[in-house]
Parts: sequence; C-alpha cells; structure tokens
Amino acid sequence: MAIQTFTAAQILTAAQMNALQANDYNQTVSTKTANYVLVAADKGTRVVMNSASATTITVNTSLFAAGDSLRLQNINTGATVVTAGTATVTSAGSLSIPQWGGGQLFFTSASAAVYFPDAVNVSSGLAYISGTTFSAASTVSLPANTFSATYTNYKIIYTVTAASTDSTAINVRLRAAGTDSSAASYSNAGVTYVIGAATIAANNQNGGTAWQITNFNSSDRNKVVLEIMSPQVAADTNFFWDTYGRVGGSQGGGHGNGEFRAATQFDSLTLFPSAGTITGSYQVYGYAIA
Amino acid sequence: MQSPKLFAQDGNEYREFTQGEYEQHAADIIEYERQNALALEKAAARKTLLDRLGMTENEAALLLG
Repeated sequence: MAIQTFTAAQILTAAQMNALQANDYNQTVSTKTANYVLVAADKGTRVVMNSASATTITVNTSLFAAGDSLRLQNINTGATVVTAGTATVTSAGSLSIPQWGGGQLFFTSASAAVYFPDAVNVSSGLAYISGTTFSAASTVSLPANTFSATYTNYKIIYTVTAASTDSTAINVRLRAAGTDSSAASYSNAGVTYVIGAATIAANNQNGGTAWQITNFNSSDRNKVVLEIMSPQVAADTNFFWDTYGRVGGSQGGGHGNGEFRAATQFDSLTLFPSAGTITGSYQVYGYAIA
Repeated sequence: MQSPKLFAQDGNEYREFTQGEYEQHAADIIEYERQNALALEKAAARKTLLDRLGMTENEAALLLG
C-alpha cells in the first residue's frame, strides 16, 4: 500500500491500518516483468523485477523527496539496471542488479538518488587474502598459511618502490611452516627485454635453489607479479611471473614460467633480492575455485 | 668486520634474521657471486671471440638469427 495522507477527523479503518502495518512488516511488493519507470506511489515499497531478459528501472525527477527510499530486487535471470532518467543516480557499486541481488534507492533530493547495492559474497573471481607494506627488508615472506585449501591458485602483486642495491636478482622461495625451502628443485624459463632495445633475451634456470627472475632496479619502481599454481597441493608447484625493473643494467622486464619439481606442500613464499634490501608493498589474492 | 644485521618482513612482523636465515643468506651470496663470475667470464669470452672475428654484437645476432 502506498503512503497515505490522513486528514483531520478522518476515520482510520482497520483495513487501512492493516495495510500500512503490512507494508511496515512485510513491505508492499510490486512485481514488474518489463522495463519500469518509478512512480511516486513506489515510495517506501519494494519493486521486484522478474524478467528473463535484461530490464531497466528508470528514475525521474519530482516524484520523490529528500529522505524517501525504496527497495529494488531482481529475482530472474535478466539483469536489471538502475537507470537515471531525468534524475541523477549515483552509487559506489554497480547499478546493475543481478538475479537474487538488490539494494536500496535513497533520494537525497527530488532530482538525485543514491543506489546502495546490498553486499554480495562473491563466489568467483579474485578474493583478497592479505597485503602489507615492507621497508628495508632483506626478505619478504607472506604470512604463514597464506596458501590453504580454500584456494588452489594465487596471484601476488609486489610494488617495490626502493631497492638499496641495483641489479640484484629477484628471487622467490616457497615456504612451509615458517621455513623457506632451498631444495635444488626450482626451475624457470622465460624471456627478458630491455626498454628501447630490439632484442629479446632468455631467462633460464634449471635446478636452482630459488626461482630467479630479472633484477631489481634501484632508480625506478619495480613490479613483480606472480601467479602461483597449486602450492598447497601435494604435487609440483608451478608459477608464472611478470616483472618490470632491471635487465642487464637497463630498465626492462620479462615474463615466463617455472616449477618446483617436488610434491611438497607450501603455505607461503618469500621474495628477496640477492643483495641489499627492498621497500614497498604487496597484495595476495586467491582464485576462487567455484 | 662485523656483518650488518639483516631483517625479514615475515607476514606482518619485521624481525631480525634467524641463525638459519643468516646461514642461507651467506650461502645465497656465495652462489650469486659464483653465477655472476660465470656470467662475466662468458661475456668476456664472447667479446674475445667477436674481436677475433672482427664482428659487432649486432652482426653476430644477425648471423645467428
């Protein structure tokens, strides 16, 4: 039931009271099966979209006042997009409402609304696990149990803003129970390139005691991106790497892949320069399994 | 000469290296220097060969490419 305007001496009927109470406790629902343009009577109610095709909910001016709000929901497979008609609609999140999604449309004036989408637990994509800054560190280890049964594969992004020594190798060691593994089981291969140079060189290592990929640059920022595959699985651990920093004393980078050829299960890893210290930050993400 | 202290960023903790980490670091430095020496030796041998052949790096790359 839409909002009522009662006048002096009017009799409030049981039906009206029940209808208003119902809206309070079990919000009035209007289900739409096609594109819908909001009307003033939608204030304080719940608009439910039920369409297998994509739809829109259009928001126009001069229908609502500051402080008015309503609920928007989508119960079918067609995504619904909250669309600014003549009013403005802003949101910190997406204006597209997926099936089983919803949120609150809140008006800050007669011509401006904010859509607050309800938080949804993402079951797919990249999930942030941890991150921190580091300063003048000779080694940087992820927290224990960063790698777990929750995810199989991981992405780690390092931004090294300062390296105390130029052109020292970027090393990575897998880690279990607080100890780096220096077994001679690390191999990696890939290509390296220098900015502005036409030639591409090889990065190659077989049976090393750490993955070793390009160099840190002490006069510019460095980026190291690692994709770690199955570190917690009792099988070989593979990795893919991308770097930007130093190659042969010049600005450059590279990319490639590699493996740790043993069925050891690891819960963390350590990044370190061959000499000196590094300063920067990292973020670790897990690839959701489903 | 006293060796400088080394520090690890271990998760959210910033701490001095453990004894085992110092030992591993020393072994890593030796290995890194060995690899660098090998690389320098290889580069010097390459330069000597190119000089003997009277070729530049680019010419050698063209020949091999």
